[in-house]
Amino acid sequence: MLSLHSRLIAFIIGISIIFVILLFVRKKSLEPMYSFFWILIGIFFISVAFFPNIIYLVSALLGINFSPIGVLVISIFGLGTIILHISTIITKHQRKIREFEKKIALLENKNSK
Amino acid sequence: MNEKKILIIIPAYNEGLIIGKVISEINTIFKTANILVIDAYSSDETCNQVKKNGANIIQIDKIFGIGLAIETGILFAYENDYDFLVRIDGDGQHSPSDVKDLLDFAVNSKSDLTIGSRFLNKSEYHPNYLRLYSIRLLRKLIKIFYKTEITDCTSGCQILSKGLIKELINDEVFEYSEVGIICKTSILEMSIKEKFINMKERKTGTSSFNFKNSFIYMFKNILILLSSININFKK
Repeated sequence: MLSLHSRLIAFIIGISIIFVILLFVRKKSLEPMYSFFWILIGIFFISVAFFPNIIYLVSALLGINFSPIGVLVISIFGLGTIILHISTIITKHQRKIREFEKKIALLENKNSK
Repeated sequence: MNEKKILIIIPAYNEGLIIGKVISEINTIFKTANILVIDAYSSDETCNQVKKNGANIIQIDKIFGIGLAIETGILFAYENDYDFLVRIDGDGQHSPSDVKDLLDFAVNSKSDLTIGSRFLNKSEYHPNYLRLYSIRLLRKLIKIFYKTEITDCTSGCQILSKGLIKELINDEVFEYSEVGIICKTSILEMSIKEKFINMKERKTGTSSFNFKNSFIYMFKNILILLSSININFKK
């Protein structure tokens, strides 16, 4: 079982992640759409604080006997998902920028005549 | 006979020593064609040379690569309603009279994509081995997946018809590359024809192909080729 101490720390981390993300969304420095994954992570921390058995349960489901490794596997998977999500966003932006570059170049050419 | 509107696009980067000669040669052979040079903000005389020779110039940032340069040319051709778009290299490796022959061939055979192939006959072009084998590999892959036989899938001399240009503009996610356009044309079931074109050795300037670029080029092309295979679920 997790000690009360570590459960408290997990709770604080979860709350602060959610707080910071909401602050960022409020200051408009983060799109609400992109905050979704981060808030999920915060919720995960809080739920671990209240129900520490989640860690053992998930580790058992993954077939891992040593539960800290289970935590690592889940966090790597979560971070990987976020990075992939960001990569798709970058691709979308890149396509948009290419389109703009094309149109601006043609307009410049038209204006210079 | 109604006159066809022809646009010749020449992507160039730091070709100041030869671009003026290329443009004047084209002007003497193609009387009615318009020339559009797509320059990547060259640091040498390229821009002045082009303007001196009375050609149109568009500038695109270098980081977007040659693909976007050609796409801009395609968009320009679409907006100004050109019948044929000829894409040649800016380093004077294609002789304008050969290009003229190729264009006549394209007009007469009514093909949508006409490629000037360097391998149908004996040409002066000798690529390094990595490039030669990657071209062969790409040729095999195109034959397997697209049932199209192309001898030179990375040629810098291609002619696009109006119909093909329209299709490319309608496709929002299309990104131009020499191989990508062959795949796209095969998927659209438009006609692709090839004719021999000689390619001279480069006299001035530097080619963008070194070992690293060749590798990236090959990887990118294979990825494009495999990812644009048309999978049809309903028979």
